[in-house]
This record gives sequence, structure tokens and C-alpha cells, in this order.
Amino acid sequence: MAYLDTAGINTGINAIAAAHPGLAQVVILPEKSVKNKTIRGLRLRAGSAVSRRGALIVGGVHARELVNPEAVLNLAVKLTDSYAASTGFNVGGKTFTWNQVKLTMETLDVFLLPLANPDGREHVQKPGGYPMWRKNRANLAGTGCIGVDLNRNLDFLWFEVLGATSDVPCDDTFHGPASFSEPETRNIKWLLDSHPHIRCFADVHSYSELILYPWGDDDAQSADSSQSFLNPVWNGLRGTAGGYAEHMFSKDVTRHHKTGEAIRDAIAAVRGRSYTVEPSIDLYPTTGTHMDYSYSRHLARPDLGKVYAFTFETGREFQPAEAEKLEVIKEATAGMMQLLVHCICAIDLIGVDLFGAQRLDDMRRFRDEVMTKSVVGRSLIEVLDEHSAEVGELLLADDRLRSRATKLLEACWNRIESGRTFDARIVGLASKLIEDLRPVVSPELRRSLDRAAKTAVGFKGKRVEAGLKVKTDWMQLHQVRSSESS
Amino acid sequence: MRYFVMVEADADQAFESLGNLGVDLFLGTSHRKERRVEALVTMEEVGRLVDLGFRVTVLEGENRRSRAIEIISFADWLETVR
Repeated sequence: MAYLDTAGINTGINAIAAAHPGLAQVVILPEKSVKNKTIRGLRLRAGSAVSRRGALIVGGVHARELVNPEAVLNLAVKLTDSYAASTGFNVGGKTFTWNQVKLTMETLDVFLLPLANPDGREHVQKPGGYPMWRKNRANLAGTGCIGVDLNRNLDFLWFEVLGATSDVPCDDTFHGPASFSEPETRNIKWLLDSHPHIRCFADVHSYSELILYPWGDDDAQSADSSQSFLNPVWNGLRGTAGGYAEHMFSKDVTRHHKTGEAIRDAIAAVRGRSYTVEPSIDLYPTTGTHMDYSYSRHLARPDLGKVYAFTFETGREFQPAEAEKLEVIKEATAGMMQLLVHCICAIDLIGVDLFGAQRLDDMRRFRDEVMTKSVVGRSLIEVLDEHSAEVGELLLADDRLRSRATKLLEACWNRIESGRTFDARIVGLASKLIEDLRPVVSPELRRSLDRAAKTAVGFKGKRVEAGLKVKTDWMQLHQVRSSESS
Repeated sequence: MRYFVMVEADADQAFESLGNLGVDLFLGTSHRKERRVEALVTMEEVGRLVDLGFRVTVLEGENRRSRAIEIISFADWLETVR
């Protein structure tokens, strides 16, 4: 029935980094806890790719939920040990392959913050403390109360006190005197601000066997973008039945739900327990949560990238007994790892071995500086973005498909780099790949592939700029950049 | 001493009002459609909830679910998870 204490978790973080110095680095968060404790995380990565997606996983926000910091630490152990040994790993009945481990480590920056609230954990575990403490240990001057619920303190509709959010200082869900009033939540903001390539996020809580996704303040709808957390006209009208629903593009609803289902399936493979995937609002309205804040950032500031965000509610109690604790750690590890696999970009997946970091960076620049300027280009980017996880899984599982995709990407990029026209061979390779994919993909991806096939025909006999219908000359842009850098 | 309980409401409005009562609700266990949620409350709070018309079922005393005191070292922990 024993758990790691705060010192033990810090020892573990340091030990993992010391055992795998090329794979794991300790990240010291800029702000200490309210009781002046240094807060540590890990960054896991391998290989030389400079430009990569990031993922952030946070545990231990709520003090009494003891199992999750250990689960986050376990993920770090599994990933680093497996990568160092060039193997996959098992958690219960769930297997992650060497390919998945390799691609996770070589194409992502994995940020792990096992214990976001060390003061709270210390209070839970010390003699004379309180084992069911939830909040941090901020002394709320003039109130006689202690603690802020860190998962209500972020800047997402913080001012709206809905449902399971409170403005009464002694309540367990007190949202604090201001948004980001607490150093522990400012650390999360710092991680997201300082690493704008983070695209996937999970905040791991207990309990109830749930995978939650945004929104938490109200139902989601995709028809009216004016019904938004950004629109003050709706202040005071959120979180109640009827009248208001928070806008989210349908493709994001789908992406969240499908990723959630993949996480659920990975967890179920551990020992057969089926977590429920649903929007957070289906439970109870909330504001100021890590999940909603992380996802909402790109809407509040369009210059920021989109972060797909989740809350896990692991297990069936806060502090399970030893045998059950080990099973919950396995389930959470499987769920977090599946999220990381879904965070891998399909182009990274097939390009990392073929092209190396520099050419992959060139490809990303081409996407950002040329393709985004064209309706055709943006639609192709959207297809890849929307279906990246499904395509990635298929390519990981099927060497023949991966080989075909690699050949197509290589042939396309050679023509883009050399300024040559897209010939019949390219169209043939694209058609063959689509033909192979069609029988094994979801109906949504099949529809997208059919649209992409029609688009591909439009490139035949043209240079890429003409196919995309853009005036930007990639060759000229690329050469100017090359001469500047040399 | 507090108790793990299940709180149930007869109507949506009553269920929504639970969030304003200052009790320690476990968001993850709630479901709007079923109007029930687990919570950790004192006996005084049980009485208050019952007076307000909620059904409250006591599940367990908090000490039955508290396993926080025993500490394991990282080295021993690593052996159990590997």
C-alpha cells in the first residue's frame, strides 16, 4: 500500500535523467511551489530532428490522487528503458512496438510533469496531514482558509463560477483570488508558452475511468462561432441548459473523440476495463481547467498552435491498494502512450528515416510558407492533420503501405526541390497508395482520400506552385534562405 | 471524520445546485443525466443535504480509503513496476 512521496518522485526524475542522459533531461520549472519547493519535470527525446511536435502530460495536480504521479513516472521509465534497449514494451495485455517507441522518441518532445502540486502531496502523506486533501497549500490571507483548486485556476472563463467551480475560499473547488494566482498553474502556462510546438496535452486525475475532452463549461456546437468563451455577450449565460453552447469546429470534436477512443482501447487492452470517452461537460460544468485552457489558447491567440487536450480520470478510487495501484499505473501508462502515438505527425513518421532532420524542416517550411497560401494546399494540410493518427497507425502496422507512402513522398519532394513538374509517375504512385488505403480506412478518411485523388490529378504536368495555384516561388525562396544560412 | 457518499437528486435544477453547496463533489463520478455524484462529506453535511431533499447513501468512512501514510523508496518502487 505504499506510495512514493515528493522526495521519492524527485529522486525518480533525477535517476531517469542520470540513467539516460541522451534521452531524458530534467526540466526545472521557473516557479517554486507556494511552500518553496522546486518543481521538476522531464523532457524525453532522441535523435537529431530539430523541429518536432511536443506533448505535455501533467500529474499530481490534485494532491490526494496519489497514483497518477507514479504513472507519469512509469511512462518515463518505459519509454527511456525501451528506447535504450531498442525494444517495445508491454503494460499488462497492451503492447507498444519498437517502431512506436522509436517514433515517439525521435519525432516528439515529450514533456512530463509527474507532480505539479508537491505541497499538496506532502500534506496528504505526512503524519498529522490530511489524506484526502485536494488543493495546493496557499495561505489565503484574511480568509482563514488554505488552498486553491489548481484545476480551476487557469485563464479559461475563470471569472465564470459554474457548477463544480467555487469562489468560496474554503471550498475544495475554490478557483483562487485571480486566474493564474498560483505558481503551480503559472508553471503550466510557462511550459505551453515556452514550447509552442506542444500539440497534445493530458492532465491525469482520479477517479472514475474516464477520458474527457473539451469543453467543460457547456455543450459543444459547430454552427455558431459567436457563441464562444471569447464573446462577453454570453457572460453569465454559460453552463446552463439551453441558450448557449461553446463553439468547436466539428473536425476538432471528431479528432478529440477519435483520439479518446484510441486511448480507451489501449487502456482496455491492459486488463479489460473500459473507460468512457466523453466531453467534460457531460459530468458537470467547470471553468479554469488545464484541459480547456490548453485547447482554448489557439482560439484566444490565433498565432498559437492548436493543442488537443484531455483529462484522464484513472481507476476507481484516489489511493488504491497495492495490487490495484499497479494495474491502474499500467492503464494510465497505456493511455498516455497512446496519446503520444496519436500526436506523431504522419509525415514525420515516414520522413524521419528517409530525409533526416534538415530536409524535414524544409518540408515544414514548404507547408507553412507555400501550401498555406493556397486553397488546395490548405485542404491537403487539413486532410493530413485530421487523419494523421489513423494514417500513422496504418503505416506503422503495414510495411508495404509505409513503403508506398515513402516512395510517393520522396518522389513529390524531389520534384518540389528541383522545380520539376509532377508527372504521370507521381499521379500513379498517389493513385496506387490511395487504392491500397481505401479498403482499410474509416469512412471519413476514405472520403478525404477520394477528394485528395481528384486533387492529385490536377497536378499532372505542372510544377507544384501551379498545382497549388500560388504565386510563391519555392525554389527562389528556398535558394535565398540557403544562401543566407551559408 | 468524513464519509464517502453517493448524492442523488430528483431534478436537474437540484442537481445543478449541488455545486453551490460547498461540499467536496467528485466531478469524475457525476453524470448529469443520472443526477448522481459521489462526494466526501461530514455527518453535518449529510444532514444538510438530506434536509435539502437529496438522497445520500454512505459508502465508507474516509479512513477505509486512505493509504497515504506508508512511503516507498524510488528504488523499491522501480522494482515493483519493472
